[in-house]
Amino acid sequence: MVTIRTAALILAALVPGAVAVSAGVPPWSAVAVIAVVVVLAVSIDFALAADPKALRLKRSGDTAVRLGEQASSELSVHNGQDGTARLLVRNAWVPSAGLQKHNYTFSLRPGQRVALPEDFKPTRRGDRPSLGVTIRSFGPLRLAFKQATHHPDWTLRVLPRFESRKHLPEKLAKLRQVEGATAIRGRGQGTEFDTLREYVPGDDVRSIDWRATARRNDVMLRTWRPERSRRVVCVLDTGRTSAVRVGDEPRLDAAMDAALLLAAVAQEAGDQVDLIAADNRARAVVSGVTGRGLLPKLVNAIAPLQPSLVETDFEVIISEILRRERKRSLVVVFTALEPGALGEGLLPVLPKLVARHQVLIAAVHDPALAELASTPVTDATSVYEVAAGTRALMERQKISVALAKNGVSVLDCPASTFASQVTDAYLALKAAGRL
Amino acid sequence: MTKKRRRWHRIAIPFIILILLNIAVFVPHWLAEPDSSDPHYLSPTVAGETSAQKLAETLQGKGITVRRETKTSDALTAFWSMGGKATLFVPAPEHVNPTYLWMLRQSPAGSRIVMVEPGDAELAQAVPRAAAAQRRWATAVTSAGPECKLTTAKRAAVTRTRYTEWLSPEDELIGKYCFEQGLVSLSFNGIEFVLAGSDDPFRGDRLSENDNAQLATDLLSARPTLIWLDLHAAEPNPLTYSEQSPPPNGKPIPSLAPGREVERPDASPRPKQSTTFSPRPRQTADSTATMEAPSPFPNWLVPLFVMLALAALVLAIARGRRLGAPLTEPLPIEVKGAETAIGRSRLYRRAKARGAALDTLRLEARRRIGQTLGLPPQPDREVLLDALAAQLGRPREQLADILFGPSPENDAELESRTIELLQLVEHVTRNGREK
Repeated sequence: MVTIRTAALILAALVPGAVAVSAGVPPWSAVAVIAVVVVLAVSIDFALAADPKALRLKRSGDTAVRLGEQASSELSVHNGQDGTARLLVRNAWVPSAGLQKHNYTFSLRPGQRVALPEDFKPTRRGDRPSLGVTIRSFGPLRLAFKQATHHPDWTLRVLPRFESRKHLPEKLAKLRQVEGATAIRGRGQGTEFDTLREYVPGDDVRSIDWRATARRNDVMLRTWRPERSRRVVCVLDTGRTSAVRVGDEPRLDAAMDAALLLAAVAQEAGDQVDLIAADNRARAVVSGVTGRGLLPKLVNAIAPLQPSLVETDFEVIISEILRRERKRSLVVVFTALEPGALGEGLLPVLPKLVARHQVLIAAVHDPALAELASTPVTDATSVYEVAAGTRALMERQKISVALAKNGVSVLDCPASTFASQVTDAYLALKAAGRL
Repeated sequence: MTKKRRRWHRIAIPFIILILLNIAVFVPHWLAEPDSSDPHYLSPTVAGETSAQKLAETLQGKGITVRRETKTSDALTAFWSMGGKATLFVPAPEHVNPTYLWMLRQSPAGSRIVMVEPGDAELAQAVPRAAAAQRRWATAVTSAGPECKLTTAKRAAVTRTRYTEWLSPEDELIGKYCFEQGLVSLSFNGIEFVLAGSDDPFRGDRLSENDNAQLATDLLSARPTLIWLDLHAAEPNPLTYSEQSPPPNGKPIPSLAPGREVERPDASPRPKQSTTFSPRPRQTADSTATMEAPSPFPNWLVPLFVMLALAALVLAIARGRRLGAPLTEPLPIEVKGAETAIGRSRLYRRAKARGAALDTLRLEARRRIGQTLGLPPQPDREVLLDALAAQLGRPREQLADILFGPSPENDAELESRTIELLQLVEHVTRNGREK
């Protein structure tokens, strides 16, 4: 392939050509001579260019980054050939990977290696793939080049933002309250027997264990703590309703955020957290992970999830839950209160689930709907908008009443407080000993 | 797959457009060309679009005897019997057998033969000196030229095939040229051959255009008798010799009866293509127009442009090669909030569903009012109206009209009823809150 320099060379050759013609050389002969010279020069230059396919590429550095943060890594190019390689390298990634600099121009002597910095500032969650590294290798005169594209299998995993982390200290404090670990309340709430301790004035006399008091010379008091080692199952609906934009992000992202906060608090409370993300088939499953490793594992599992335009098959989800969870657990379904999706998908199979587990349906409220229902009436069009919005709200009301009738708790709140409220609901259930 | 297909389109579409343009030009041209095998083509008697009936009538009006012959043999016999006082008109020389064409040369001196657009093959037999120089795409209307003695017509459509002469370097042109070589008169053996470059002046449908009629009558009325060879298909070879019937006087006289072709004895002159002569453009003083003028441009101009074009081509190639494919990004699915509700509002508007829209709003209004007044869900009409009338002190009929009234007839009524309804709800709920 030729470069712009070749065009410039042809134009420059017009000057000696003109001189030769004015000296009596036939014009076509001058053209032929120039053409031969240019073709020769370009061919030699092309032959001397290093083979871009033979260059070795390696990448090292971050492979995962939280959305909103920066990742950096290095792309190293190694010249294992005999000649010097004059290179123009384009490191192509999807635009949402937010790579700061794509193109590099440099020379590599034989055996030399260079590390090109990669600074990512991703703008979208999920797996951000590399689209290939294109290398253009020029000849010494830069009249011609060889070009090849390497397609290495590199991806940068962008993890969810986990914005609701900011609520974590508050929720943990609440949890400690519930567990009775703080000094504010003398006695923990809960139903599980914890320890016996000596009575101090002010304790609830109803908690005195008379049998133990009789054995010892002191008045002994039973303390209680909430149940531990309970199970929480987060179900993320990735079907069509999760693609709806609520505020700035899709409903699925709000659900992920809430699920992560819930998992963090539940894990701290000593509960086992499982996660199933599914639409018409299971997209991601995390189960049986305890301790500190849970949160990273969850984040990794849900990072590449994207909404898909299919109807969620709740039958699949529920049979999956019933198969996995033998013990009674709290099943939190992150979905949308959509009459079509829930009324026809979830309601018919819900009794099977409710019979075995405690179910909480958590839905992000769509503010656009309420806005539509309260459009100021100025003309007939706005009346239709108000009517359509009102009807959608009524149908949602209906579905939540139907769900509640089935013994399911329903949580319907705006995206801004969603994660916090879901965790609060969990803590309330825990405090009430209903897990 | 789609990318490949698009690339294929990019290459194919320009060619398809070119082919279509060609078809659009050539097919109508081919359809518009008259067909010499039509029975009415330049016929003096048969009526039709390209018939020469009108011309024959004009000639008869001028006192010319028009004899129509449908066989060349008959025409030649009649022509020769006139002894130089006749014109032979050959509208379709391509159908005349080459042997008869060759025989034309032996016509009596002083005769005139008018041929319509003979090709090189026909001329080689009839007038070897004449040659077809170039053929135009369509007949051009040209002026006769200042020294034209063949006709008094000024402008006529006769220039499609142009004629010239085969000349050895020392020869002079002997023909009379008119209409930019579209009309030529050549004397050969004392016979005047007139070659018309196009059939337009003789056709009935073109006779009235320009001076076509004048030209045609001038060409055909030079002798008192006109023998019109009305021929529309190729003829069989004439019977010349046969072993069964030897020539009468031992002299080779060509028979005019149609028959089988037999080897001519060597004594018989055979039509021969000239090999030593070459066609030469006319180079007489009065006809410089057809000579190639010396180029006004210097000889280095074209080579210079070729060089510039080469440089431009190289530049295009150099700029055209991109550094790897464009960056692509699979985007996640996102749906606008409240999309279904907005869609429903549009459906309401398109269907002008005023009743349905207002019913929805009334249902919701009754629910909210009922709730505010502390009535059971879905209260009875009478109960609700009673309670509301008692609360507001407004007439029952008016409230019934607002909450249960008829469907609105037009947009203005819908609007006013909706405002009424919303105001009522607002009023009741505000009152309820204040209490």
